[in-house]
Amino acid sequence: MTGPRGDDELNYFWNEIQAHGNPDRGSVDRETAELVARMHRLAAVPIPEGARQRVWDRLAAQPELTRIEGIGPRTASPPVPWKQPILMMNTSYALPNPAAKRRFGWSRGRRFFEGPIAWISFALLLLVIAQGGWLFVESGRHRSRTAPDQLLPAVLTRESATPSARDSVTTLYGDSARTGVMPGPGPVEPVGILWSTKIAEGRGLVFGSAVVSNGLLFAGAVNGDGESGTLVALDSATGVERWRVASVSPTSGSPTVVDGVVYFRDDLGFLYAVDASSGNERWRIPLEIPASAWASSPAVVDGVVYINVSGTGSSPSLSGGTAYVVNSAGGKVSAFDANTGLEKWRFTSPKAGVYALDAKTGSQRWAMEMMEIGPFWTTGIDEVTNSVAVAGDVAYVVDGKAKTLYALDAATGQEQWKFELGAQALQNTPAIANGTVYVTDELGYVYAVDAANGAERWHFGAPSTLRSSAVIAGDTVYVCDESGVVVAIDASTGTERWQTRTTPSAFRHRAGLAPIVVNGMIFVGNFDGSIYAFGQVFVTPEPGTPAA
Amino acid sequence: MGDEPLPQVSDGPPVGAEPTDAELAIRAPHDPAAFQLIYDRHFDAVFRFCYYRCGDWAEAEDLTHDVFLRAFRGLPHFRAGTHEESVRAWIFTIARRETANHWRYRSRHPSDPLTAADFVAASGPTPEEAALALDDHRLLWNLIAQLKPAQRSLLELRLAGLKDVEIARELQRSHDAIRAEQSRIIKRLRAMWRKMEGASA
Repeated sequence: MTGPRGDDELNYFWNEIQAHGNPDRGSVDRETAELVARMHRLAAVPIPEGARQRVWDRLAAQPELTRIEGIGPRTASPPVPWKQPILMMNTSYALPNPAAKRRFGWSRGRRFFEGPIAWISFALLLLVIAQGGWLFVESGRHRSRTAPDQLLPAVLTRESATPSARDSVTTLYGDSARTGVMPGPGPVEPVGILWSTKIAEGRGLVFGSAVVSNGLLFAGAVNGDGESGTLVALDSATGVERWRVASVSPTSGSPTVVDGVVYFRDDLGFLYAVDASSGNERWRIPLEIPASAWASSPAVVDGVVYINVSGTGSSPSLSGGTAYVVNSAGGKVSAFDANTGLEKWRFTSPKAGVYALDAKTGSQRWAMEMMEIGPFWTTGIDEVTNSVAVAGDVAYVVDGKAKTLYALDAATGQEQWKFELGAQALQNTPAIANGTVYVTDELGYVYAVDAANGAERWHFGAPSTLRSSAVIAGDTVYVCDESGVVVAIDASTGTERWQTRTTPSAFRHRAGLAPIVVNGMIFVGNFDGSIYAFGQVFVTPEPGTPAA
Repeated sequence: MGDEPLPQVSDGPPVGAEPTDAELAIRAPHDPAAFQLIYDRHFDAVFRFCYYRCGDWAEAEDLTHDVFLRAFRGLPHFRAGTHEESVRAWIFTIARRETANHWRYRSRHPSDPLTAADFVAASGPTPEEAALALDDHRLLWNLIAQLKPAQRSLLELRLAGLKDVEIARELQRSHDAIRAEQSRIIKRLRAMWRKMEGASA
């Protein structure tokens, strides 16, 4: 047993004996095996009884640890407002989220660029960028000669108005029943970018939808390090940043604003309540461990915050005293007091499915099994963000893996009808208005389905995959697709009204979960880390162009 | 439908899997439960490592306390890198530093000098087994004490439960070098063991 092979065998034997206790010694000689086994027994020397607890008790008595004990949600003490605004708070918590690293493949990238081919790669990249930029500029010139273009310098035509409830979208998909109905009105053509503001730090992204309340827009972001997150407040008319707070881990979900407080959770399990006007933290509570949920958003109704603690990134829907949630097996949903952060109840899903729970007690009213919702195969984490949409006495939900839209009796869970989609739909929540259900799938189709019987009225093919939900304002349906294109569709006929790109750059970035439409503007988050505001624009005429 | 129990779901990965050390380390500066999970996962290995280094359970408790306290204070500045084991390796870096400081202190204050023979095994299931284990452990520690310091460091990490890959990262050496060094250690220990048995016979 000498040489590299002998080293390998001994090493393997040693690893195995550590892991399993008594492995086959293979070609390792008896004397060596006996010696390693003796050392393993030495390594497994019993630890004195109570040592673990004694050391922990001493640790827990340290001032540093007792200080964080006070933050927890299950203490009866009233919430203590932070004395200082938590601007850029916690930026030092820069520990990687392995799931996020896998998502973007950054860990491989760093090593790649440390190699000797870095200069060649860099030069090639410059060439590609130069080529792309030239093509883009050329195509822009061409368009400007032929037709008004939303990419030309835009002038705001909308008069600034006093914020009102009508100007607000306070939670994901418009309301806590997740109907997807926006206050509107949508913008009038020609539509272009009014402003864009980068909110993610570094090369981060925006996935969740924004919300707008009292003239401020709130949106969460996944920072470029893949480890931390940000919640930002912008002036909704100009895009000027008012404040930002840092979250412990990425914030891929949407916030909810109620009574001047912004509630949001980050992906690894903290729920936050911050003051909407200043960003001052009111409370934060650690959710259960593990509490991973991608893009989960809270619903806040009657002083109670409902949130998926773990499982899918589904956002609870509230209607008629019932909380509806889509979850995977073992996933959890909780209700917290909105003022204190104290937990009121918690429900654990025994199977993957849609659950209707008593909003006061958390007890199950009915359930319908769905296909198991596993981690997304490319990232290894759960990216299912379907929610239940409730309109009247019917709950609509998409079983994403089964490619089926269900209409269920909201009181009993009894199936009323179902509609088959063309592809899976893991991030596609239906929208309901005017007796029609609008639902998207990952093939890029928008379907309008009769809410009474499930009959298809029309379907529309978007330019690219739809991993986002449709929303409706007035008689227009809005979707944004994987290539970052926002499309407005006539709600009654299914014909396209207009489309525009979110990013003016040569590179296309995926748009976020769903647009919001309020007060003549559309707000869309984008994977380039920015929020884009669209609205009606005037086009600056080219010099020499005769006035119309 | 209704309140009926749901049918069995046969497959699909379980949700609610154990969080990784890296995930816990993000939460730990704010969440005592997360820090306690890190503590629970690594206590045994760190505690034994401290014991091997100082030879006294009471001192090992003090050292382990200091190691985890330093780890907690350092969490906000810690970057886990791309390896899942890096939290453990980082804790062991702290543990090695703490025990080295302890040895330096003891060497300058030699009121209670430590020798390998001072190691005492904890009680086993029966008095006979405990006595046998005690003899076995004493013999081994006598042999280990005769190794070169670098070899002893490697072996102590191995005895604390680290695998070759983790030891390589911790000692900043290549994986192959660690494996080769392990073989040399075993060869040397085996030779010493034979010599000792020959002498006793």
